[in-house]
Amino acid sequence: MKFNPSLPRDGINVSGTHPLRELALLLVGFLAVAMLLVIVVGAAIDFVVPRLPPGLESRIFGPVWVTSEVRDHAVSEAEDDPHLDCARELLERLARRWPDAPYRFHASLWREEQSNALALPGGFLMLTSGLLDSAGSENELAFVLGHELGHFHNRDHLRGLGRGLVLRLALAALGAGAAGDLAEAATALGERRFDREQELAADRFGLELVAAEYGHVGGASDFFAGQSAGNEIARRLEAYASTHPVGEERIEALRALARERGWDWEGELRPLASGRCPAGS
Amino acid sequence: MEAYFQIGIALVQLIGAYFSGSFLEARHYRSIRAREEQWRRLPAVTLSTVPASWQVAGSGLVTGSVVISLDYFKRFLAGLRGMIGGRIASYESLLDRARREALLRMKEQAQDRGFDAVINVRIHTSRLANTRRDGQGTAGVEVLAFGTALVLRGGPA
Repeated sequence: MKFNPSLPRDGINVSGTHPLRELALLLVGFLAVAMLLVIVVGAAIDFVVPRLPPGLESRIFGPVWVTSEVRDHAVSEAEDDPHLDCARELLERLARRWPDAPYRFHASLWREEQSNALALPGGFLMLTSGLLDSAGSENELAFVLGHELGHFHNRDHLRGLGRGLVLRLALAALGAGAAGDLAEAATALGERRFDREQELAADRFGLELVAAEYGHVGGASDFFAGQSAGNEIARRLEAYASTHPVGEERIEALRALARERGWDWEGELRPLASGRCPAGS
Repeated sequence: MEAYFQIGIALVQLIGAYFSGSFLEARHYRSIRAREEQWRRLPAVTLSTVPASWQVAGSGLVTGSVVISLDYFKRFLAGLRGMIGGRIASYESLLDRARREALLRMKEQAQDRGFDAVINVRIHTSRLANTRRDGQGTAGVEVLAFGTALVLRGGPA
């Protein structure tokens, strides 16, 4: 037997693919799949969630906000706002005017200059400190809260929720989401735009609650009135206005509704109390 | 912010590992090719018995061992690959180098000790566990080549 000392051809046991080419292919592939997943799962959530019965919705989303950093953040920030307790009691009182409400509402404060209120899935309301600080009366705040309850009533708050949610969850799963990520998610959800019809419908619902609570609808439109007056509050309301139809139109719609139902457009306004503000006589 | 920082660090590691890994790999392959050529005429075969025409004057155990580490870049590629399957090309060259290096070291040992050929060559590999607390992951791989070295009268025929 003769020994053959020749060497094998180099590279038989090695794939010839350039590592950078491999990296590019894999990365592009994964990004494409990930984006597709986010879009598909997001669309699926958008499809399913508005069709969930509210009870199930509360069970799913309630714990998300209540146990998350959103709540921690909200609770720790809330301690020093004198109006929050009042706002919460106001919310409870208004919710009682909607007896078959499928949610147990919970309001938290968000330290934010801009005046805004968000309706989050599961009956969770986020009120900015700017809103509480700039509210001229209890009645004005009641209307804003009622408006948000209107979004719950019409289930607007579940709209367009999927993509952001999936993206945040994916980021959190990858570990990229540090503290406060869910909080960011909450604010991102708040930036969703409801369309004009949804806003007007929520306004009508809100006004109805205000009328039931106070016997008149005075002060309800003050929130918008600031805008046309162009005063300092108006500038702070700009953010709120940018996601909502312009005030004039909405005031007109409220007036029309008040006339139709025979509600008094003017009435005695209650100041927004510091601390507790139990229902008056 | 923290997330960007982490991604930034990972990117730097990735790029650094790519360049250092490519450089070291190219250099290693040059060395392997040169030494394979150098030791080409020293037979290292897997026969378990001595060919009839060989006249054995002495024998001994020779070994050649090499421990290779994964670099960040290759590990990253393999991780991506692991999700969809297929050839882990980034590890192929690594293990190819390790096998050939182990055989070369074995041959070099045989040459050093005055042997003329190695028979019954075997290649074994074992994984070195990571030093991470959970004991998961791979710190590196050892490739061990060993065989029975022979002193031949009149050389391999």
